[in-house]
Amino acid sequence: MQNEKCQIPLTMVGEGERVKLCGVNAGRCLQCRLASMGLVAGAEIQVVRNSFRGPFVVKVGNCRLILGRGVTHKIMVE
Amino acid sequence: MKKITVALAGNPNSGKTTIFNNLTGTRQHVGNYPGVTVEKKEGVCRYQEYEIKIVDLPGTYSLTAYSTEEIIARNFIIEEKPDVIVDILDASNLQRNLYLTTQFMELGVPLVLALNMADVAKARGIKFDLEKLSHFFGAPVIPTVGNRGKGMDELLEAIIAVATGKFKKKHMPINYGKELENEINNIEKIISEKKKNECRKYGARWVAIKLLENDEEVRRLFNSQEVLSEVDERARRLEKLFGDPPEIILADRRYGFISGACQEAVRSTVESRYTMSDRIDSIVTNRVLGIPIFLGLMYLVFQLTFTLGDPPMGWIENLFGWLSEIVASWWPAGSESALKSLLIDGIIGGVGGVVVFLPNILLLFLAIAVLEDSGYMARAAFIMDRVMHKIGLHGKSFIPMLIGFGCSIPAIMATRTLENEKDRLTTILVTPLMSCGARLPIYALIIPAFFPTKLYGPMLWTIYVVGILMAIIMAKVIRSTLFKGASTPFVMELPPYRLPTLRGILIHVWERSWLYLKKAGTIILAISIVLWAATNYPKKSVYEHDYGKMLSSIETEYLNRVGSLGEKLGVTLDPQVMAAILEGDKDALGEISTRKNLLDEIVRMESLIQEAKKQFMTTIEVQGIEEGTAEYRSLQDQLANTLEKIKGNNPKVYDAVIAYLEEIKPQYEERLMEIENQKKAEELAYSLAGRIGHLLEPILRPMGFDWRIGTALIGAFAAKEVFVAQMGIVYSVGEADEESETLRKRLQASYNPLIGFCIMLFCLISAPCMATIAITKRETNSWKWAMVQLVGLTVLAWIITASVYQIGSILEIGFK
Ligand SMILES: Nc1nc2c(ncn2[C@@H]2O[C@H](COP(=O)(O)OP(=O)(O)OP(=O)(O)O)[C@@H](O)[C@H]2O)c(=O)[nH]1
Ligand SMILES: [Mg+2]
Repeated sequence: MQNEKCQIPLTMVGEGERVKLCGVNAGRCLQCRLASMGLVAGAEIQVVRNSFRGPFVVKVGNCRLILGRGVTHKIMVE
Repeated sequence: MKKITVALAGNPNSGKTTIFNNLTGTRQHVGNYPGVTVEKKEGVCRYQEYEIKIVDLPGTYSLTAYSTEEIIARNFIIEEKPDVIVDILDASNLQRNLYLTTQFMELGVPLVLALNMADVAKARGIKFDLEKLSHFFGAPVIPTVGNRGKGMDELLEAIIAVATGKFKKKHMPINYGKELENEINNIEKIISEKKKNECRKYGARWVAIKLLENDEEVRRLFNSQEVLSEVDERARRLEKLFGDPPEIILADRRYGFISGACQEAVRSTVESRYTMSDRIDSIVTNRVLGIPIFLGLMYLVFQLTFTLGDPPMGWIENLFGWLSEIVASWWPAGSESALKSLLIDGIIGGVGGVVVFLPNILLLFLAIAVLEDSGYMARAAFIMDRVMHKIGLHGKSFIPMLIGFGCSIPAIMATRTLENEKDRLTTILVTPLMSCGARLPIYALIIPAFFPTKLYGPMLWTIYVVGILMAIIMAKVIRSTLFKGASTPFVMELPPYRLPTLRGILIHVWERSWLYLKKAGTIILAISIVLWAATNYPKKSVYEHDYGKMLSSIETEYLNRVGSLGEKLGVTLDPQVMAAILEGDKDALGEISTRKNLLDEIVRMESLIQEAKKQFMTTIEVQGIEEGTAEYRSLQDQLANTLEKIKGNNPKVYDAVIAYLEEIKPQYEERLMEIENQKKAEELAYSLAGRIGHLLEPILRPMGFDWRIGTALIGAFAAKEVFVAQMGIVYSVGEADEESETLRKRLQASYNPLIGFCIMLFCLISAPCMATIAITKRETNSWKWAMVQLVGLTVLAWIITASVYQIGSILEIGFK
C-alpha cells in the first residue's frame, strides 16, 4: 500500500496536527507490535507532543502512546 | 462443588488486577501504568455451587508476545487452556482493546467480555449496545467498574453461563477476504495431515493464521521444513498481491471487523476534547521543565519524610526507651546477665532501632503509592527518555528504576516488560543503585546525627540523586562494554491521570509497613540475635590490664580528695561517709551528731547551687537558646549573680562545694567511665564481631570506617536495615553507661560528618541485599550476572567511597 502520498514520516508532523497513518517502514516484528497497539494503516493520529528532540506523544482513538524518535521515523503518514 | 478455571486477560492497565482483587478478596498490586503485573497470580472465588479458580495475567496487546511478561500471559492462555477467558477491556478505549479479543476469537476459546472502566466511558459520552456487541463477538458483555466493585456478580454469572454451556451464542470466525481465506484453508489442509496433535490442541485455523503471521513460537512448534517453506511461499505470494506482509493485512482486517462492529454497537456523543490529563501533561512533560519538576517533586517528598516523620519517630523512640527501662528493672541494678543484655542490647537496641524508622518508611511508600496510582510513573519514563536514550536504553527502563526506590526485588521483576534482552540485563544490573526503602533507615539515622536541621531534606535528596546518576553512568558503561548494540524501539501507552483513591493508597502503605514490621520481627530479629552473640562472645576472661586494681585506685584517690576537703572545712569524718553526704545521701547525714550545723549548711548550699545550674540548663534547652547569642550571655550573667548571692552566705563552704561539684566528682566519674569503656573495648575486640571487624580494617580504613561500621556493613548484606540494628547493638554493648543515650549522640561523638556521608555513600552503592542477588539470579537465569552485580557494585562502592573520604580528608571537608 505504498503510494505517492504516503511519504511523510511522523517526525515531520507538528504538535496538534491530525494525520492518517498509511504505512510503517519497519521490520515485521515492530509492525505487528504497533498494529496491536492500534497503529495500523488508516488510523487517525493526533500528535500531542513533538518537541523536536526526545520522544513523541500521539493520540490514537482515546489512547495516548509514547513513541521513541526511532519509531516515528518509520511511521509514514499522509 | 464444581470447579472452573478462569483467566483474566486483556491489554495492560485495563484493570485486570483490580477485578482479580475484587473477585478473590486478595490485595495484589494495582497501579496506573502498563506493566504492573508481571507474573501470573492465582486466587479462588466461591460463588453459588462453584469453586472458581481465577488467574490474573500480565497485560498484553496481542497473542504474539514480545517481552517476558507477555510470554507468560500467552503461554497460560494457549497451553493451559482455562475453561473461560475473561477479556478485560478498557471501555474508554474500546477499539484498540478489541484487537486482542479478535485473537481470542480466532483461538476459539470460551470468552466473556468485561467492559471495564465503564465509568470513564460514560463520562466521555460513549454508549454501548451490549446486545449487538455480544452478537458480534459471540460472548456475554458485562459492563464493570473495577475500582468500585460494580458488575462483579454479573461477571460471575456470565462466567458460569459460558462454562456450563448455558450461553449459546458462538463467535463467528472473522472473514479475512477471499485471497487470505484461500491460503488459510490451504495451509490448514497441509498441517492437518502433518501435525494432527498440534492441530487438535490449538485448532488448525489458528495455527494456520499464526504460521502466516510468522509467529516464532508456533513456527518452532512446526519445525518441519517442508511445511514452513510451503507457508513462506504462500506468504510471499500474498505480500506481492497486497504490498504488505500477511500479518499486516490480517491486522488490517481485524481492525476492519472491529470498526464495523463498533460503528453499529458504540455511539460516542462527545467529540474528544482537551482533557484535564492533557492540561497537566503540557506542564509536567514539558521539554524544559520536565526534569526539574521531577527533581522538585522528589525533593518535596524527602523534605516531608523528615518533617512529618520526626515527631512519631520520637514517640516510638520513647516507647522503646521505656520498654528497656522496664526490662532492665527485672534485674537488680548493676547486675550483669546475658539474657538482660540480649533483650536490651540485642533486641531492643537492634530491632527497636529499626522499627523506630517506621514513620519514614510509611511516608516513603505513601509517596511511591501516589506515584504509581496517579499515572505520573509513565510520565517519568517519557521525561527521562532523552537521558536514557543517550546511555543506550530508553524511557521504559526508568519505570523499574523508579520502582527500585521502594524495593529492588519488584523493580528487577518489573524489567520483564523490557523487550530487549540487553536493555533488560543492563537495567537489572544497575537497579540496585536506586536507593531502596531498606536503606532509608540508614540515612534517617545518619543525617540528623551529623547535619543541621535545614540540610536534612537536601542531604537525603542528594543521596537519591547520586543513586540515579550512578545508575545512569553505570548503565552507559555496561551498555558500551558488556552489552553493545542497538536498543529496541520505544513504544509505551500513556495512561490518563487518575485521582488515587484513599483506599488504594492506604492499602499500599499498609502492606508495605506491615512487611517492614514483619521483616523487623523475623529476619532482622534473627540476625540481630546472631550479631548480638557475635558481638558478645567469646567472652574474655583474662584481661590485658587489671581493671579491678585500676578501679580501686581511682576510688581511693577520690576518697582521699573528699577527706581532705572535709578537713579544710574543719570536719573530720570517715571519707566514705563524707562522700555519701556530698553525693546527697540523706541517711548518712542523719547518723552524725557532731558539727551538724556545718554539714547541714554544706548540703543546703550544694542543693542551691545544683538548683540554680539546673534551672539555667532547662531554660536553655526548652527555649533552644544557642551558645554565643546575647540571650545566652544574659542567662549566664543571671546564673553568675545567683551563685554570687549563694556564695555571700558562706564563702568558705561555697568554695569547697564548688570544688567538689566541678572538679572532684566529674573527674572521678570520667575516669571510672574511661576504665569501664577501656574494658568494654577490650571485650569487644576479643568478640567474634570485633575480630572480623579488625581483620577487615585494612579495607575499611581508606573509607574512614572503623571495625564497628565494618561489622554493621557485613550484617547489611543480609538486609540493609541490619546496619542500623548492628550499630545499635555495638554501641549499647560497647558503652558502659546505662543511661540510654540515643545512638545518634554516640555516633556524633565517634565520627565526623565526612564519615557519616561516606557511610551513606557506601550503603547506597555497595552490594544490594541477599534477596536482590537471589532475584537477579532467578530473572537472568544465571549466577554469572548475580555475581557481577554483587562484586561489581561492592568494588565500585569501595572505590568511590574511598576517593570521597581521601579527598574530603585532604580538603578537611566535614570535619568537626
Ligand atoms: N476509573 C476507573 N479506574 C479503574 C477501573 N478499574 C481499574 N481502574 C484503575 O486502573 C488502573 C489499572 O488497574 P490494574 O488493575 O493495575 O490494571 P491491570 O490490567 O492489572 O494492569 P497490568 O497489570 O499493568 O496489565 C488502576 O489505577 C485502577 O485503580 C474502573 O473501572 N474505573
Ligand atoms: Mg495487573
